[in-house]
Amino acid sequence: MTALPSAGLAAGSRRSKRLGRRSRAERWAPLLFLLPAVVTLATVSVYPVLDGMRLSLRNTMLSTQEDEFVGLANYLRLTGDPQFWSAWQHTMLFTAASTLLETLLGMAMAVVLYETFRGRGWVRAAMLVPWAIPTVVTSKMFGWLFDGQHGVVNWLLMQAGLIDGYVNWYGDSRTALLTIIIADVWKTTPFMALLLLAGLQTVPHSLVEAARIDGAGPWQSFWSIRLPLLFTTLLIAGMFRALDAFRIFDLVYVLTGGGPADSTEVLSTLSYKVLFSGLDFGYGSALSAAMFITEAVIALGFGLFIVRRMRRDNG
Amino acid sequence: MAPVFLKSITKAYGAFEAIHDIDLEIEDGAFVVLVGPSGCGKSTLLRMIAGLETISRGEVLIDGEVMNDVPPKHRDIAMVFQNYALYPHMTVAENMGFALRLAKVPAAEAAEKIRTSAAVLGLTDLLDRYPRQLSGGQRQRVAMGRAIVRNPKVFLFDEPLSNLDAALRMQMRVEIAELHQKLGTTMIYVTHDQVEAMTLATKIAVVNKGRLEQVASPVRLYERPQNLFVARFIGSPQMNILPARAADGGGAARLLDGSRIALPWPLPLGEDGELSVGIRPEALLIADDGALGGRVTLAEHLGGLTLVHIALTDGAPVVLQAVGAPTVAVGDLVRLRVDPAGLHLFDPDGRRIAKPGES
Repeated sequence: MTALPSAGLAAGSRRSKRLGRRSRAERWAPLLFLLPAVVTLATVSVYPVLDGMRLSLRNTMLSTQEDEFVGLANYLRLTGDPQFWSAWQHTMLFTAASTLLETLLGMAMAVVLYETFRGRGWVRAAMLVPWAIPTVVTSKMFGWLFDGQHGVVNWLLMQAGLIDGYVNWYGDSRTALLTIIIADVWKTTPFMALLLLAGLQTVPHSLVEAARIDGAGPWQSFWSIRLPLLFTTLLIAGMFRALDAFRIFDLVYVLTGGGPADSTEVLSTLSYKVLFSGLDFGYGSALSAAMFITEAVIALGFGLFIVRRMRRDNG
Repeated sequence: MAPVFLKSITKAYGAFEAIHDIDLEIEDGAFVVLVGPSGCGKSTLLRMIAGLETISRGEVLIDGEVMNDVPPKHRDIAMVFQNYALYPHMTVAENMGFALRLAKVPAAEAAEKIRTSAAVLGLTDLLDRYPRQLSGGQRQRVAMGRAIVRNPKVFLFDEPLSNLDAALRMQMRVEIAELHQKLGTTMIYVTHDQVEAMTLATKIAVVNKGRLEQVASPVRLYERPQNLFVARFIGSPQMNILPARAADGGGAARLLDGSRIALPWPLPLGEDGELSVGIRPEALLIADDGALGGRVTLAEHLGGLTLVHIALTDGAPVVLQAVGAPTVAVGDLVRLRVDPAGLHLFDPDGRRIAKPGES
């Protein structure tokens, strides 16, 4: 009987030691689980960005083997480079035009596809075909459609009496960017439509029915009920689309290569040329950094707006 | 205010008929409750009156006009939905004023109407709030406010209280009844809760499997259920239903356990003819000379009332409702007498066997 209390104490201290071990393991386990993701992101995302930033402060040139620290010299050159500013403008114009058009058309498609009709499943599936086609194929396809001499678009517009003579769509600096925007809208609108359709489906049907009884027609119930409730989804979809459109490369590279007369040169194609054709890694990195900063500003703008909107909706 | 007529209403989805040929006359200013188990078609019927569902065959008339092809907004109706369907991005005032805005009612007039309706429902202090900032009961009230602000000809309620807890449900039930007395507008109310139906309705339509089983005032429905379905559905606790055969030349009903219930009127059935005997729980009385016998299995004391669960000698369960607290304990053997006022008889097809003097 006298031995019991001390045995109890010993057991107690063993237990506390075991608890201590377990709590240490519990502290480390979550970090351990995070490690693979952290390592992956650090190597493929954080390191390249930082290394790009570092390179942008040097005059690294593969052809001349120059590699010295030059401070902000590349950025100073950037601000006075008309090629950069023209590419920047093209990129912004393309981003704004394609995002806006794709959102509007995508919304219209989503509203139609939300309704019940015979064969809706098939139409919903078929709608995604343009998005599933590789962009290089889309580029080649639009190359033929909009061909200045043999393109079917010219022929159709002629037949309809909308143009007097064949237009050299992507061979003319006045229409080349427009052609690229049209191709991008054709390809990406279905994706927007799908995102917005998912958003529409979250609006309870009883709200639309209540609006109908309150006296709303289809337009009024769209403007007063569905659109306001869809607005956050619309902003998020718009942000994704804008950030994606800003990086446009393949469509331009295959269809026009940035021409004619740099009229379709965008930041991606320009930095690609400077980096891998000019082998000017210092200046090319500064270009990429400028892209990164512009995208960050766009994302921040959308982000602030979305957060404010969500606070208002849930506050 | 307007009467509503349903003439041979049918709703078909392809070959499947959800509503079969329903006729219903709803007088001006009536409070009609459509009651039935879930999936019986009562909500579909209401939505057809609202114009949210198309009518496959038959006609809906509101105030004498055929409404089949009239869109909901031109039917001059208001509807309260089960989940309230408040517009989440609008304040209480905006929710209530949405219909007025669409109808292009001048702003000052609309504000006045919203204020009056809000006062009726005690919403005055909540007008600037958003639905997410309201409790369940408040949301329910806003949904009703949105309906009354338009002063429609007919109010439609689709299970408006089923998302509320029991205490609040009783309170809102009283408020809806008061609202009907105050406004005098025709109201059509869907519920699966027979207590709501009994307390609110001037007329109840019992719906089952897309057909009307019986349409009558709550009291008449309780006193003269036309068939077994209505007998079981109306009344809480449920009517006791026991299979039986005619005996003594139609003067008595013999239950499966051999006991005989003497009938105060002769049965129009041959000897041994099958029937079902229905006994309201309050019509079972504990009496030493009772015709039935059984053992008490449970006594539920509800305060003013007691529900005594009894297994008859063949094991068939019955419930007895007594006023106060009778002195019975689980396991007691008791004799039961049947009060003829609460006795109902049904033929093998489940149809009521009329008592003498019943039309």
